[in-house]
Amino acid sequence: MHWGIMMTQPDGFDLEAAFDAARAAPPPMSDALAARIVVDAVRLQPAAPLWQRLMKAIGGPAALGGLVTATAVGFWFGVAPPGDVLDPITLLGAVEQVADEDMTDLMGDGWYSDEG
Amino acid sequence: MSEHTTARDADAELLARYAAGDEAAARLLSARLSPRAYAHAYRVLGDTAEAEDVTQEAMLRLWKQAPNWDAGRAQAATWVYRVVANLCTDRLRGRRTETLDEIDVPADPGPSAETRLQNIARHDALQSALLRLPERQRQAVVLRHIEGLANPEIAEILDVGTEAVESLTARGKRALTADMAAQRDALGYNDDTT
Repeated sequence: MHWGIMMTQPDGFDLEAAFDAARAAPPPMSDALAARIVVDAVRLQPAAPLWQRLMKAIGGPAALGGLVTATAVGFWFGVAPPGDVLDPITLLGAVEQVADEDMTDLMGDGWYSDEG
Repeated sequence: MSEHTTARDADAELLARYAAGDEAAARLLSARLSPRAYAHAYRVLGDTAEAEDVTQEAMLRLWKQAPNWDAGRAQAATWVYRVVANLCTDRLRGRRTETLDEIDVPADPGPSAETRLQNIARHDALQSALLRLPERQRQAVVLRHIEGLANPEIAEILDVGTEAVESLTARGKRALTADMAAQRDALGYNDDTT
């Protein structure tokens, strides 16, 4: 039924029926008006607090939980690393030693002393 | 908890979320309140463009008020209705009485021109009769009998006592009944079973 169309009242005009019909089909608000109202709302909206904006930037509470867990685990590994994990500093020294040996081979150590 | 209280709490929560920067709350609040504001403005003013202006202005005032909103003092829907009612009163003040030709008519894709015109006439009968009521009676009748609000809420919106609301709606209904009965034969209410 089109909005506001009234029922036939053979015995006289039924105002309540007209009210019911009008209530059941309110005048439709345009999408353009709805959009303008939301634009106004966003324009006038107070900025969210900094912590809320940061939370949104990193992806919400779930992402924040993961970030906190990863940070805590990393920190704990730094303080008390598991016994079977190699010390990265020692590994660095070993790599440098190997690199020096490789360079010696590549340079053909002893070759040009024979020439000389 | 009553439906009324639930709606009131939901609107208050959305307003608080809006004031805290939640953009989704603005959309939800607008979807809940602005269609009712527009419907009331249209029925009181009888003009689409003016009703849109009034609705946008009322919602604009709500957005501005949101950061200072006191949920204990006011209900958002009542507050918006009140602003709309006042804006409508302002627009109607000094405006000459409208004729039927000036009333905004929604599009109606009826099967024939004759049927379409008759449907528009019927459909507009209540609206045009409403527009012939004195402004306060019109607002009270629309709020009570079409929007379905309770008398205390209407009293708050129109800034009158509940007895005055009862008087306004009773007089408005009598005038509408007489007006529409006078139109009945001309509009062909007895011709079919539409």
